[in-house]
Amino acid sequence: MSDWLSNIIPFVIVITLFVVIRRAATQPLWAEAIRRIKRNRLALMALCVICIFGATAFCDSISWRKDKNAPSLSLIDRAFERPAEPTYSAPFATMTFGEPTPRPLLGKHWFGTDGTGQDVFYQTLKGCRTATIIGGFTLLIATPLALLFGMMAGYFGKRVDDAIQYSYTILDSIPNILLLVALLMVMGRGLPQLCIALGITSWVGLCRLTRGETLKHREREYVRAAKALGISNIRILFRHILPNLLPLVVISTTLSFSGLVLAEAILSYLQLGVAQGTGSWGNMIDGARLELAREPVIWWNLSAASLALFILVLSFNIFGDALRDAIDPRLSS
Amino acid sequence: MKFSSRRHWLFTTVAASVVLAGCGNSPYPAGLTGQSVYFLSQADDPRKLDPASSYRASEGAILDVICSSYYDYQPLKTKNFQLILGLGASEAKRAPYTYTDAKTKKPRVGEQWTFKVRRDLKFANDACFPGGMGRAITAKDFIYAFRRMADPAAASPVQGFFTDKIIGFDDLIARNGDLLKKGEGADYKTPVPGLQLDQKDPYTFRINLNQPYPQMRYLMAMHFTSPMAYESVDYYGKDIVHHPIGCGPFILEEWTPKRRIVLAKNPNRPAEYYPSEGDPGDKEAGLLANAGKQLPLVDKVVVSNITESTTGWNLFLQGYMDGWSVTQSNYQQVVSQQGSLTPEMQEHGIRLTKSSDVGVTYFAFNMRDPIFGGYTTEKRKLRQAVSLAVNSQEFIELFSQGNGRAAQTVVPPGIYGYDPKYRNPFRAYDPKLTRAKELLKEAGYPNGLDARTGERLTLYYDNAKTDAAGRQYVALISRQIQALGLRLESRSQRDVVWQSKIDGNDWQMTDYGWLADYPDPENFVFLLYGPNRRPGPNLTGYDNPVYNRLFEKMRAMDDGPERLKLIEQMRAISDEDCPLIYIQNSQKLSLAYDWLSDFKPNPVTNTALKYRSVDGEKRAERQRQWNKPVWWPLAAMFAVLIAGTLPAIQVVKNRHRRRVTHKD
Repeated sequence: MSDWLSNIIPFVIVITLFVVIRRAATQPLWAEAIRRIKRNRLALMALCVICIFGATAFCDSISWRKDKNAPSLSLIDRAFERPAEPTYSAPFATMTFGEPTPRPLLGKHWFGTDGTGQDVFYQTLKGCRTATIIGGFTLLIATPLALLFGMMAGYFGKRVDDAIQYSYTILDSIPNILLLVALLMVMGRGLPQLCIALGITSWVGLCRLTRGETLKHREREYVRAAKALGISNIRILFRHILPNLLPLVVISTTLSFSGLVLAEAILSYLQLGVAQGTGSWGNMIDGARLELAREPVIWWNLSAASLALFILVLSFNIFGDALRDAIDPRLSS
Repeated sequence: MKFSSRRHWLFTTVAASVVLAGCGNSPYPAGLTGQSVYFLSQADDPRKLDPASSYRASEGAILDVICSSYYDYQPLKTKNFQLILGLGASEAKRAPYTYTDAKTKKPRVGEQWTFKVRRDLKFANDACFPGGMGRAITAKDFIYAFRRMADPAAASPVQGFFTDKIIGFDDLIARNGDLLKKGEGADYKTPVPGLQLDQKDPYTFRINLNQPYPQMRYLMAMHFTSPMAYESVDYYGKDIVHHPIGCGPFILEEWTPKRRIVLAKNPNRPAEYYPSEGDPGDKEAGLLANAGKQLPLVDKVVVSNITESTTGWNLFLQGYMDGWSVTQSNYQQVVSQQGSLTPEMQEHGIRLTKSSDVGVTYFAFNMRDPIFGGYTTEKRKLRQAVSLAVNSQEFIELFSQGNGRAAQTVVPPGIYGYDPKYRNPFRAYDPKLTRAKELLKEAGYPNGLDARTGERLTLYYDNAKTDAAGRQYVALISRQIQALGLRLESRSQRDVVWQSKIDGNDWQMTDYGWLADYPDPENFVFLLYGPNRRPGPNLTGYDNPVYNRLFEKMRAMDDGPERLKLIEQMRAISDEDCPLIYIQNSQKLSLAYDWLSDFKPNPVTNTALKYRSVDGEKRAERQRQWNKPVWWPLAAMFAVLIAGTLPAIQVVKNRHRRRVTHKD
């Protein structure tokens, strides 16, 4: 993919998000939810943290090259463009770590450096983009699948319902981790492959939920009225039922985002995560396996990745809960 | 009998105490560690234990003490490796041998090796023999082992060692191939001119070679040539790979894949004794304390399969492993800044041994690659430039904690032809990369850019480095290559995929290593001999006619000035062509407890297990001292539980005491 095209994508995503939120704010249900969230300080803090992670991912997605033969460097890469250190160094240290004769470091490293002298803070920031892509793109794959099949099963019932239920029951009966391993073995390692594999294995929960909700809505007066007026099924599904399911979808996707970010870490630990050279917290945690067994222990690599992972997952969980309460205040009690 | 509630409590407490007191952290059956048993571990689990086909280090370490060979190595002679007789009754005799070439029908002079086998040899007892009792071993069983290497069903990886040397061996392989296509078994009957039994003496056999080949004696020290009982192959069929039957010091008592291998003393083992001489200084170091004792020195060997180094290290510290290797993770805990053992380890009764592997690791270029392969001046300069940009010392510091030598050429230390003063002109690392950049420019890639297209040159590095340490390795080589101005793209695959790419010639640069099969330079310089290309050991496909001619001449020679001169000429040619970027001659740091007899690691032999003795009582006593149960966490847990339960009990009691009162 050319640089300009890969740079347009993050802008498109950010603009789309902005437009969607602005449009939602004009509708009474969402306007009320936004008003409630604004009053929830914890949720606002979580949102701020998510925005910081998102902004870091955005900065890491904007890249260009000095000339056609130079590597394409992102804003984050450029901010940390300096010679690598010889080997490990502890956070804020001035000398290398674990060598018989420690050597002075070339620069300051807040989170220390790893075995090949790479700055751990830089690697942690690089992990933001991977986490965001995995969460975002996987949901972009899983959510439409879940909505489509869930609504069809709930609305049409009978054989369509049987077929869809049968399919997702079979899929759900295979342990997720095994299915993921099998898919990644077939498709190979890489960020897109990982998103596809996670997408295939993570749509069933939302599909079940959507089916149940659709079954409920199918019997409501507004759907009956639409049918009586001769409106097509497709139009009823996407024009009338879908908007009523959106709050549920938004809550569900927000809460499952954190699960997907965690899944990447687990798969990387099993050496099935993103490809080598792609900054990822999972790869950092996997790399720290050997370091934790060292004496004295090298803890900063694991700590940095785990902390970043913990903060992002916690923020998403807090925000997801707040969003659920805001959309449906009856649940908060 | 009916217990009261209080008695019930008492009984439960006493029973729990008895059960818990019996619990320990020992991974072995009670009492075993107090016996003459040697406990060690292997990270790699042997896949098969078949003398004809096992080639992995983990397999050799087990197999070589089950299946002894005609020759063995004197274990204490590590400065100049020395062969001693194993199953052989006398030194093999070499003599010129005239034969008629089957293709040209012309007489040729080859070499005949005559081997005389000991008369007191018996196979280990096994169900494959009548009555389960092992029978006597004769020369026939050695010849059978050779013929089995030509059997496609055995898939012997060293077939190539003999194919072009034993007269008629190539025909036998071809015949067996044809029989396989027809769905028939291999030919074990038709006489092969190169494999001769003595008509008068059943303990003598001859190997007739079409060329002088001094290395034959070393091959007779490998398990591939150890005697094989045809009854075992007939009895076990394909499962023979799990039933090694020989006449070594041990027999296979138990093999639980991915868990444990137990070796027990072979009751039919031939008499052999601990050597009474070694290298200078060995006697003073106490290495001859067991001199003259009959081997093996322990009754049993338990080899546990431990893949996680942390687990193994903890077992070693608890005294449940008699020895362990120093790794990246425990190096600082074990070795002080002065390079000796830390005082904590010394107090623990641990001994540190440093030894060198006879081997070399390297990055290899595919010589058939259109960009980095080839023999033109430009291609040569391109490889030389890359070689100059790779800093071996950084690899040694990061992955071997500074233990190892930066390799200069293919022949490693300890092998005839190694010159410690020699410096490879294309392995002299200069941080400024001045010469490397000049060579790159001369090769047509100034600053790493293709002079014709202006594109940056990409070097594809195919590897199987998917784990954490592997990623560090890739990151380091990327950094070094990128400093030259080239782009390095790593193609990391699973081990099987990578291996098939290598075998299928679908690669540009990779990393590899070679450990000595036998202590002869031929075993290293043959890595660059053209006809040895894949599936042979020549990974790169390097094929220089001058080098090949020199190799063929050198191979047939005994060590001497003339051979040395040829080795130096070959070194000059191959270093100039630069198909390999030499990285490291590894060194190993091993740890052992003082209850295990001291022993010098010998890198070319796998029979160390039979020379080790153990003081089981001392070990068991130490294990008891170091592994006393720690009860306070349990007590603390109970205290917390009780403290947490008391308020609940109080609440329940208060509820029971509550009375309804009526207010007037």
